[in-house]
Amino acid sequence: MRSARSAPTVRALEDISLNIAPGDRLGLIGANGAGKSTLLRVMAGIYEPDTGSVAVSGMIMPLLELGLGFDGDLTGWENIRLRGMYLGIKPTYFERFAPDIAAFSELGEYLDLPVRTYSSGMMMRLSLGIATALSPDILLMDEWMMAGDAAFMQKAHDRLAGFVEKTNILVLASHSEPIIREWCNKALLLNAGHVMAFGPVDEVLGVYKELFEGTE
Amino acid sequence: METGRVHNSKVADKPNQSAQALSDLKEALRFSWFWSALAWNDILHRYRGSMLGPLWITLTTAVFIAGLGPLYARLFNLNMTEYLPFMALGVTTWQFITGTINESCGAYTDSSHMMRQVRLPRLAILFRVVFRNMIAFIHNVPIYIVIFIAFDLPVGWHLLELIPGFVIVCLNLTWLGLIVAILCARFRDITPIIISVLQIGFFLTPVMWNYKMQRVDLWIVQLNRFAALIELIRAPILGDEILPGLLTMSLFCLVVGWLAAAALFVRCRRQIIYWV
Repeated sequence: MRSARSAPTVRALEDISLNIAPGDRLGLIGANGAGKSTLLRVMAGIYEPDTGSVAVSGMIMPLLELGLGFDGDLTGWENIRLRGMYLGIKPTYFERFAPDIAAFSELGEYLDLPVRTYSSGMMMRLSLGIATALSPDILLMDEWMMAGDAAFMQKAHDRLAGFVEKTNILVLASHSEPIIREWCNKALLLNAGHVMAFGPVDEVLGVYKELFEGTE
Repeated sequence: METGRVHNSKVADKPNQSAQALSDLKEALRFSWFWSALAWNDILHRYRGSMLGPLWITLTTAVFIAGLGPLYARLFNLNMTEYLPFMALGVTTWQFITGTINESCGAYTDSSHMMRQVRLPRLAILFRVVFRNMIAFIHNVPIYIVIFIAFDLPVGWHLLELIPGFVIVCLNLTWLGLIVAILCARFRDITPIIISVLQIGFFLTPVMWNYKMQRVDLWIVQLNRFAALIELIRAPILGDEILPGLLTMSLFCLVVGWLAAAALFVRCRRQIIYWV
């Protein structure tokens, strides 16, 4: 029998201290496993730090994984309502957003079908539609939202841009330089759970390149 | 915007786990619409596509009672009019108790995908499971009505004792569920253990039998916590006295159980997310 105590302890993040102010669009960069997604989850209150504190003020919208949180047996409409509830919005209130989500996702009558019949592109449209229908104060995104099929992406891009503009704070995890350059005005470089650099995008990307080339 | 889960949290440097647990409880209570709506959703979802829908909850139980009631009355050589109502209430209450405990085993593991997407009060997830089972239990009301009419049971003020009884049962199930949910999230071997213990419990608990009818020693019943919970609901409906021993036991369990569950919750709340 595997002893529970023998599991190794992983220190995912250490010594992180930063202040994000309204208007900041922060890009989290770093290699896989550097702690980007973990930091997003700490900010979202999903993980709680062992030591230290996280002070947040405002409504947070975490958009971490695509497709997760959909119930395949429920219809598109029901999933819209369900997702809203998980985000803390009463179904009656969320009804107001439903037409907008339906229009954006272009799913039409498919919204009456179970989500398991959807293609991944349709699921993504629905996901994006729900996410961007609200206007949270703080938006936490993993980079999946920026990747997708080209036809829809132009429309998605416009909507995302408008959406990001409305939020006070954006934190975006990505290891793609163009995405960080496009969406962010600040960047934070993580390596093995430590902050390597924090500041303007150019500066931090410079450090990132050095670090990256150094290990090659 | 007045909706949404607004965080205005400030956590001390070395977070105080008791305070965090308490704010989890407060938040869970504030979001009662959230877990109650999800519980309703679960009930409807379970019977999606079926013609009778949640009425199946009522029907399967009715079939079980109508089938086994007369059989056991004969096996035990008992009077049907006395035995069948007793057995029907025993079976339905037992289903409520075991259903809640069994489903609590998966309370956290089954919502792991959502827990990793958004911050959810841990207790809200448990309340959803308990409330879902309360809804399922209430589906038995038509059965009770049929039994009341068919066996001409007395209707009177004594039925009101059912209300505190039901509340005590639900509160007991909530602490039990919380402990089970946390332990099952941490140690995956516990779920099958609990399921098999509850299966044996069905026969060891006076669900189908009665210490009066079958001359079982009373102390065996008095020691059984589940017997106490069943009596709290069954006795008022049948117009019986609740044995003082069983009542004391259930209140004692309520206090001790909640203290134990609270201690466990304070200790483990933060880690649940890493276990699921």
